[in-house]
Amino acid sequence: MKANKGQSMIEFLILLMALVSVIQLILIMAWVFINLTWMKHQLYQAVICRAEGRTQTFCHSQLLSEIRKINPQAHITFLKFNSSQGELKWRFYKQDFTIRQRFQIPL
Amino acid sequence: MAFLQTRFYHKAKVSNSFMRFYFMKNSSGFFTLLLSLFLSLMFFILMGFSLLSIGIKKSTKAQSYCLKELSLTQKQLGHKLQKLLKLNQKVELLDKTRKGLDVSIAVATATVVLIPKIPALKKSREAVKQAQKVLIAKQKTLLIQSEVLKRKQLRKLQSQLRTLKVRQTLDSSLLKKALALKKEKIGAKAYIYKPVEGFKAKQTMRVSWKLPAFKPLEKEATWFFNELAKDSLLTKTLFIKQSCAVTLEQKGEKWVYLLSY
Repeated sequence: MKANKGQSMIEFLILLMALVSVIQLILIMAWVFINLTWMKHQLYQAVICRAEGRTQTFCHSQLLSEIRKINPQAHITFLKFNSSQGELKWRFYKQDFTIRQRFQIPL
Repeated sequence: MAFLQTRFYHKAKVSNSFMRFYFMKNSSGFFTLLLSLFLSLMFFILMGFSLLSIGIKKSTKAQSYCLKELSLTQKQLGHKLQKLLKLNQKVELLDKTRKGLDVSIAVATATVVLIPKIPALKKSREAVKQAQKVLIAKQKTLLIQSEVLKRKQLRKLQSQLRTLKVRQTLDSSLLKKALALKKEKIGAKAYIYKPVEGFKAKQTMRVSWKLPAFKPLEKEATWFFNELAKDSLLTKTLFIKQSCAVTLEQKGEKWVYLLSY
């Protein structure tokens, strides 16, 4: 009886570990996707901000504050934008994600 | 004794299989619970992600509609403005001609020798008056066309924003005239139009709207969230405020549209 209980426990633990790993993986993927979507949107807003004639400093600080609303620890390694395009690099667990945005008045 | 031993052994065997079944049943129940927790977590993650994506997509679309329509409006208004400002030269020229003719007629009336020329001078003055009337009509037509254009484009934009179910807020710039111009009187019935001081700021057309941070599916839910949204703090949380603004700027002889804030 004891031996069976132990076996079931091990099976259960293995299953639990697998499930936890899958949940962790899905959570990480969701986190990355949410961050990328949000950053892409905010980079677009920053490019529009420049196109509106606001200063680079203002748009830059606004972009960073908006990104930090979702991810306060966001590690931005590269950020460059003007009134027509922008590029941003985000580092997450030694992995760099590059986001590019272009803006043109849709006429 | 042997009977008792067999009985005990049998009992133990039964008890063992019962315990095993019991544990397996419990483990399966726990697993089901974990699985349902896992599925609901996945559901919430996917729900959150799709709501965020929908919100961002809607926001970008609303911004795109707004920029497109306002830029198009200002571009067309720029053409009208250019035509209107070109008419100023003609108005001034005709006014000078008319004033010259008035002087000539006065001189001719006073001088006996020039009296025969008076009918021809008066005829010329009539022609100038007619030309002035035509110019005034052209100026008025351009101004009316500008107003009609602005209203038409704004109605189009409003209907586009309505399809996205955003709450549009009325901006004071929409109530202003289509072209920020001042009228200057230069003659009896001659007016020229000039851009007002601080034209760029005064010509700015701005449209603002509120976008629900998430879209409830049921009518009751909408009512519930609207009730919640009455509170200012919750309004800030539930709605994303956005706006877009476009103005006109002179570059050489042309008037070009540019984004403003």
